[in-house]
Amino acid sequence: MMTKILSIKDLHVDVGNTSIVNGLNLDISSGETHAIMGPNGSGKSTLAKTIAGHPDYKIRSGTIMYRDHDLNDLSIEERSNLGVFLGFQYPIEIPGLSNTAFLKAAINAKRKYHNLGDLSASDFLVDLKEKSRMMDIEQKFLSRGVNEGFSGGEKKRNEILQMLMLEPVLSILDETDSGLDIDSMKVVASGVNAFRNENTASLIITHYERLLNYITPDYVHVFHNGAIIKTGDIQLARDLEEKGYEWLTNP
Amino acid sequence: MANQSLNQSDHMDKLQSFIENDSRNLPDWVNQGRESAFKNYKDICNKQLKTATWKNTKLNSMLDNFFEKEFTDQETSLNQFELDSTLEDSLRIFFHSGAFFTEEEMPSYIRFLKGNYSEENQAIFRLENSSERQSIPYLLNNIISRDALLIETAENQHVEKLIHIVHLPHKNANIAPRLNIVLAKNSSIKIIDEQLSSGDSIINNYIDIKCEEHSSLDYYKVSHAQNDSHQINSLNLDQEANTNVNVFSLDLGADSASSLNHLKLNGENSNVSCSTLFMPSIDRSSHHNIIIDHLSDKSSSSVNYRGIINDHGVGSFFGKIKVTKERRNTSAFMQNKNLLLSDDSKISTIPILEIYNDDTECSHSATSGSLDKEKLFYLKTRGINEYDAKNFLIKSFMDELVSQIKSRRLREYVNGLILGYRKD
Repeated sequence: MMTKILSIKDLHVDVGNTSIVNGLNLDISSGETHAIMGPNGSGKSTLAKTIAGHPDYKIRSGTIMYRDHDLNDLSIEERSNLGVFLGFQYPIEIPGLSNTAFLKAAINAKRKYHNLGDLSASDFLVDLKEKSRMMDIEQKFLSRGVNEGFSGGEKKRNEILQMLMLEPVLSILDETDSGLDIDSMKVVASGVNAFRNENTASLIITHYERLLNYITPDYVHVFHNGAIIKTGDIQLARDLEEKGYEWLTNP
Repeated sequence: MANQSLNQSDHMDKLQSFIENDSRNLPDWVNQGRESAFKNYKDICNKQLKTATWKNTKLNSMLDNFFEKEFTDQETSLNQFELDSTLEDSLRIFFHSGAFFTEEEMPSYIRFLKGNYSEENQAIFRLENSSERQSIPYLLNNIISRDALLIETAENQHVEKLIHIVHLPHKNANIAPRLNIVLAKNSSIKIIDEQLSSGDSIINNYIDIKCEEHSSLDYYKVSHAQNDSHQINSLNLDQEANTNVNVFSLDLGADSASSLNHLKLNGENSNVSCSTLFMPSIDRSSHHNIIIDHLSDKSSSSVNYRGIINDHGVGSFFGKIKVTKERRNTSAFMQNKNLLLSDDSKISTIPILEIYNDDTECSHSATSGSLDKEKLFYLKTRGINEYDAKNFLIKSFMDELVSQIKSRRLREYVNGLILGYRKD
């Protein structure tokens, strides 16, 4: 049975004194994959960071409900522990903190939040090995600092690895396809598709149609000036690829 | 920040009395060295207190309280102390109450001055007043020091065993340990020099290192947090051709902690790396000065200092790399990064390059700031709470330095000390 995962009502978001999101409405149910497309500066990444709880993005009015929770009442880490995942457009490098230690800390933080004991080292390593292989990430990369010295494609694949390890409910991928060659894009898409099931939902933010050739969305939304101006299916993405955004943003 | 001006005449009178009273059991050459140091000290003290090196420190206050501490000279037994050092399989030498001692049989390359005031030791321990060493701490060390430790390798000797010098805790003491390291041609050694926590004390360390051709030294200086104490570490290094020296220091802060490193690359293909992690907090301060002289062609230096300052802590860095006009094909890198963990923590940083030719590759940088907000956000979006996220970032900051320690067990040892300190 489909349940509502995310429900955004008349959302207005400010960054500093600038209004970026202006009256956004969006509902996402379990099992669904939504794509948000739009030109640079339309507010797509602001929406992603607002859902994740970035402190610089202030909700002026409106609500973001995640299942039964008003996200505005939850800390960043609580959102994550309840199943919200943000794949970063520019993943952060943290030298000195190994990928393995980081993932283990993240998984155990979530388990602690849900009153579960730490995951056994062997269960963790088995899971990590399988999923890193799926993401074509070599074992030696896992002992390096988080994203340290990773290429653009490796960073994005590492984001999807983190998503797979954390097993979120709602995955928001902010321009995960930017900077990816075609092989990496296929790997990323296979990871996202592996994550899709009847209990999860995805919100994929992208500029281009090409990722959507590998991850077929149920809905495609066009974002402009901080609000959705058109919703359609994969055909809308193809039309945008052909015609650009101009015919919608400046008809 | 600096204290009231020093009562010079009172201070000098007391030093004069100290030398007179303390001279009876010492040979003439030691006393002459002291008197000579005292003469120079009187000449430079007032002037040096006003220089950038000292004006922001609490040196005045240290000198004011100089004679309120005890100049102890008693036999020490290890039974008095609870030691939890985990550095197994090392050769341990202890320092307490003005003297070095050991409970193990010492190899011939390690010698103590105490009890062996023969003329030959005058040169060995180099108590001469070399003009370049006319600093307040050096001269005071010459006046106060009663003992010195000499580590002198033989040609072609590669010492496998780690040398672990442990400075035992003091209370209300005034001590001036002196360590001389001489590496003969084609020899190598690893030394860790560890200062345990003392209280209400003045600790004025002087370390003199000479590396002859083709020698290699790893020297680690670890200073635990000192309570209501002044600590000064002066290091003078001379490197001849084809030598490699790695210096790593961990300074967990004192009421006032200072380091003065003067590193001289005298021979071709001499390479030095000097890294320091300093972590003053709870009103402690930590001040670091380093000068590197590239006096030969094809010499290289790498200076990397990192400060983590918290809770009314104060830190400073002054670094200068000098490459003269005649020197060719040198490379020098200097970096100072500082992490300020609270609004009331303070840092000043001055990295300087003095380069007088264009056949050199040099870079320097300095940054100071709080924890990166975007990194914190990233960690939190993975479910990690604020406290743990901050700790991960602090560890990441430190680890970029500590990970450069080549010896795994020393790296783990240093990490263990930092962890213990941060838990406290």
